Amino acid sequence: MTRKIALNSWFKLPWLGADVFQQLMRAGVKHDKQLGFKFTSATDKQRAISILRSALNEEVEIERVCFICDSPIGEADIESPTLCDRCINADNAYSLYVLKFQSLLDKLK
Amino acid sequence: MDMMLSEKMRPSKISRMIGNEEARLEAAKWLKNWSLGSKPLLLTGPPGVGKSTLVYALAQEFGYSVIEYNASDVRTRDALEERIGPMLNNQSLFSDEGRFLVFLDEIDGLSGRADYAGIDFVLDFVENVPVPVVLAANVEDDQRLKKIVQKSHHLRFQPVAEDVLYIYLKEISRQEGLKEVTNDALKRIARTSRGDVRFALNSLQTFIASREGNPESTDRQFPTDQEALASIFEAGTFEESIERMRNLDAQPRDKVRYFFDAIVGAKNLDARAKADALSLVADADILMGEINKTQSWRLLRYLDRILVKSAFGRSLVPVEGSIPWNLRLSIWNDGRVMKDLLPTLSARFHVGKSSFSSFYLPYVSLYFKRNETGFEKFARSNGLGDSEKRVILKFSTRK
Repeated sequence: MTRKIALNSWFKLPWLGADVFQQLMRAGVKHDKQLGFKFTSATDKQRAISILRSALNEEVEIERVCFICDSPIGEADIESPTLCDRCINADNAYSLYVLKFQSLLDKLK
Repeated sequence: MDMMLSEKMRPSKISRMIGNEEARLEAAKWLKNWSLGSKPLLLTGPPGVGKSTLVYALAQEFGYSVIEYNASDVRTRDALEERIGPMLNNQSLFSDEGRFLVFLDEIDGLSGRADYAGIDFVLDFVENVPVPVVLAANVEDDQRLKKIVQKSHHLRFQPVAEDVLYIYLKEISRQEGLKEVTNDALKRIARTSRGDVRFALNSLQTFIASREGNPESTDRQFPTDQEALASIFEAGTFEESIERMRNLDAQPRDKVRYFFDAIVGAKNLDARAKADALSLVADADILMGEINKTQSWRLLRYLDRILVKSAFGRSLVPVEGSIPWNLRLSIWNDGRVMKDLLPTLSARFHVGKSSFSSFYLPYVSLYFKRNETGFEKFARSNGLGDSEKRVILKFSTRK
């Protein structure tokens, strides 16, 4: 069985012990008592996945969604893709990227 | 194109930057909610991923002026105290007249490995200065930074994703009217830049410049560094050498190293000629340090001229069969880590340092590679940082 973890989305984990919790925190995994855990761009993903694989004793993978349109990103020939093919090939891809970031930033203000 | 693209395109708004989306949002949240007593912001990550750019963009967005210090210029506690200490005693400076943000860049460049005083002073400083403080470092696993990491709001910057870099380069090409640069060429630049935006922009500029005299080749291949160097050394005129420097697709720092290597290894030069040539390479190295320190990338054009001058007319040949620089750098860096690590590990296994590194390490490495939880425990109990762990695991992949 493979557990898929979406970037920037909260997910729950069973209690894996204080040791594993500390390791996840050190790998930059975010934690919230109510919401659970979250992988962000600040997370050392390779390390966090390896900790989870070992603690859960199951396969763990990152499920990626496009930063611009939130659609799932399939197999890509590049490491750590951020965008889906449709968005990468859009003529105004960079403008769309900036607009998406601005909308997230506006939510903070 | 007179100005360096990396300078011209430096974004002044957070939203126009690329990569590290979550970290940028977190940083904005930190400054928006900043109040007296808030933790400083610590940005760590490799060069060229936007740490400094973010600080200036944040300041502009939230109405702050930046007071920047490059910690590696200062290096000792006394010098650092002399530079930034007065801020603690001049609180009126931070009155309603304006809002200031202090940016201490390259804090991992502070003093020697054993001297923690500079770091302690930074800690004292950030706890007492009544303005937001942002610290930046290229590495996070330096033992000396541990205290700072614990007391800061820490954001890790990663290399910018290749696809985001590509759409950014595409946009720049559009803005600059660079119709002759194909999407494949842009993809290749994005891939070879390995997430370093500054490098990508410099590569794009180099690519455009190298094509200006050869417009019919619409999708030329980048020559290898060895080929590019050979063509520079073979050029008939000084200006021709400068032109050919544009084909050398290497980081400026590596260009200095290539020339150093070629001159040191030149069998046809006597000691006097080598000394003269190396003196120019030393000038180039100093200039490179200055460029890094002041971020004056426009000075890079002079770097190429100085380097070419060091080699021109000396019939140099690129050193053949030498270890590539990226590998050599890796050996140096790993070697430095191993040197610090060996006394602890060899004592732990009750053997000498050379016995441990020659015979025990590959087995220890292989064992830990297969036992990640055990490795984490071992690392914790021996106070190993990320660099040390990475180096230990590397040995299991060697044949």
